[in-house]
Amino acid sequence: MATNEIVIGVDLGTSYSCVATMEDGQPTVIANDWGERTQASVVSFLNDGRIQVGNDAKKRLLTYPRQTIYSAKRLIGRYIFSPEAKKAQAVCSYEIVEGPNHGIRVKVLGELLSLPQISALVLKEMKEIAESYLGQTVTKAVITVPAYFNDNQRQATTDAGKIAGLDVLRIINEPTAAALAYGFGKQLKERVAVYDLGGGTFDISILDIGNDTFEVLATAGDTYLGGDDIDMRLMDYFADLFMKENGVNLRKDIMALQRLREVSEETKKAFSEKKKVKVHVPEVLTTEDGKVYDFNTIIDSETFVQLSMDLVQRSFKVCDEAFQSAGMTVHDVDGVILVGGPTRLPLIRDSVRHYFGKEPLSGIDPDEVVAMGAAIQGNALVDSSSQTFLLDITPLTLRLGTVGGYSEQIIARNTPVPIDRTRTFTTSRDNQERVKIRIFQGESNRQEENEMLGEFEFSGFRVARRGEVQIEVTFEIDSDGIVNVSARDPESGQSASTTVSLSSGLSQDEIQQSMDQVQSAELA
Amino acid sequence: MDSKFAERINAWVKALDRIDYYQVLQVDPHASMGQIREAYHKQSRLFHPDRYFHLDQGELKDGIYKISKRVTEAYVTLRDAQKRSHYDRQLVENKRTKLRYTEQSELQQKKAKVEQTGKTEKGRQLFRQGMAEMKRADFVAAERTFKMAMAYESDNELFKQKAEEARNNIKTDYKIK
Repeated sequence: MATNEIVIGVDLGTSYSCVATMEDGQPTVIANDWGERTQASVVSFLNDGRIQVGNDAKKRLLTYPRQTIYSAKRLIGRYIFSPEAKKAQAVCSYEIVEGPNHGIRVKVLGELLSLPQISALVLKEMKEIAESYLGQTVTKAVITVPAYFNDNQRQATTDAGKIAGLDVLRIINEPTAAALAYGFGKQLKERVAVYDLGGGTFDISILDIGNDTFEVLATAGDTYLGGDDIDMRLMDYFADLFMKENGVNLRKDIMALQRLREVSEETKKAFSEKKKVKVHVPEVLTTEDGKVYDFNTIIDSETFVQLSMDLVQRSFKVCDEAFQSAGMTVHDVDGVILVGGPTRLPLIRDSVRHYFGKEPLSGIDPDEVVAMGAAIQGNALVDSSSQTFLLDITPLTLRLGTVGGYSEQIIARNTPVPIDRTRTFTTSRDNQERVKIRIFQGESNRQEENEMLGEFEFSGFRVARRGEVQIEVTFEIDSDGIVNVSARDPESGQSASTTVSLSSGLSQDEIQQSMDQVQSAELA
Repeated sequence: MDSKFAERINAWVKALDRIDYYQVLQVDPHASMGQIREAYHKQSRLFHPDRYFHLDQGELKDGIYKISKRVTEAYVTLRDAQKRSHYDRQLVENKRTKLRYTEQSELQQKKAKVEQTGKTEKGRQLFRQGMAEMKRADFVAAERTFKMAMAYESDNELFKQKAEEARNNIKTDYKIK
């Protein structure tokens, strides 16, 4: 049943995004009309109502910092009280406010926008790039997320796809996608580790590749660790230096800070090839009394390494965790795949070589490999003759809230999916009509240290004395890594109805509304 | 998809509640870890929903999904040596009436283990003391301690066993006749 349905694979990154599709049986990255193969994940709102997305939008960061949204991925699917939201509120040049159900909204030109809406605009741009290249409409997509994304973040990413007018066939994990692209069609029999340091997140996955079967053995990650954090270290260093030299706090000037942020990213990138980087920012700051300051310095790689080494070390702690979970040591893997722009840095490559005791695999483009893997998976789903086949796992422990603010484990992390587990509950009060359960994802016994996925209320079962009614609750994680919960009365066989009163996610109405808005949005 | 395939899926779904994990994975009960992984790959290739993504929603697809989840469950249990031995015991103890491994059975096992190392506070304390003395190779003291523990819990098989073990370790020339 081979079809010629087109599916795009989208690597929706924190800093950059990339789109690919299968052409003549090979994954191919699609460039935009200017030949750019990756697009900045930046959305800028113009005063005339038009919207700019991508590398041009990124240029507007300097001139329209309050109307230009970047790093939306750091906030998608999170609550306003999360540490990440707090941090973003402190450092971002755009306005971050609280939305319904403790969700996050960004306020641009007086309008409130959800994070899935922002990401949808990036996805729409990627869709249009593919359509312009292929000369036909594209509706199906596989989108990648960091392996360590929780259910809320995955749901929000799926919502973003829907809002962009895409049928999201699958959400897959970025390191898994990278391994797919690496092993595709090679008839390998080996174990690989994928070290994925992106703009905002870090993932490590260990896979067993046997011919065309890709089995993920373990994964671990840190959704607060990425190349951006290295930029921030540089920015802080520069701001301190400026303070020392001029006695003026440049951090108070949003424009100056944005300039510095940009220069920090450039400086970091320059260290991929250079040992010393000259930094020159003319007219970085104009004070109220009209004094104009330039910023000049030379930074060497030793200083750069000093500034960022602890971040790099943190990534290896996460690696240790993954190996322990897989019951393996670093010596058990045959190869290491590097993913993400920051892995171009000699600092990272040297550290990885040292940790794994082997040279990372070459010939893989760290910026494009994830989108290529997503395209392969998309094709594997719609083309039944495809032999490529993926067995993935759930990265976080699924937990059930119990009394006293505690929680108990239902499905352990690194369990293969799809899988389900059933628990039986009995009513605790006479004539009880409802049972409420709360589910969480995370590694702590304490509820508040985990991410709350939602609160489910079951009703519609028999009404009787306490302890007489049993309710079987089934927790399921599907192949998308999405959590489903259902309940039934085993005696009557009757299914209880569920209402999910959750999370920071969008309602169906909100999604529909956003869809209409995004569809009609005019991209500049 | 032909009707033969649908029939086969149907037969599997019907059989799911009557077969154990070894049968789900189609492996021998003495299969090695490597054979279990291989079987997991093979059965997943047959039943994983991704392989039938193009099928329309319906009974057939639901059936495939159900089998796939059971294949994963079998693999998760059998690839873990401890869980596998619990499961094997469960099969025997329940005369094959309980074919799915549950975490609850694990909790029961844990409880059973606690009971083994002592039902009373004093019994548990003496057991720990005895084990420490064994470690120091002070077998004379250990035997005495385990026997004291037995005074609190006369029916504890483990205490009895350990006392004997300690006695057997006491070298004869230390015994004063």
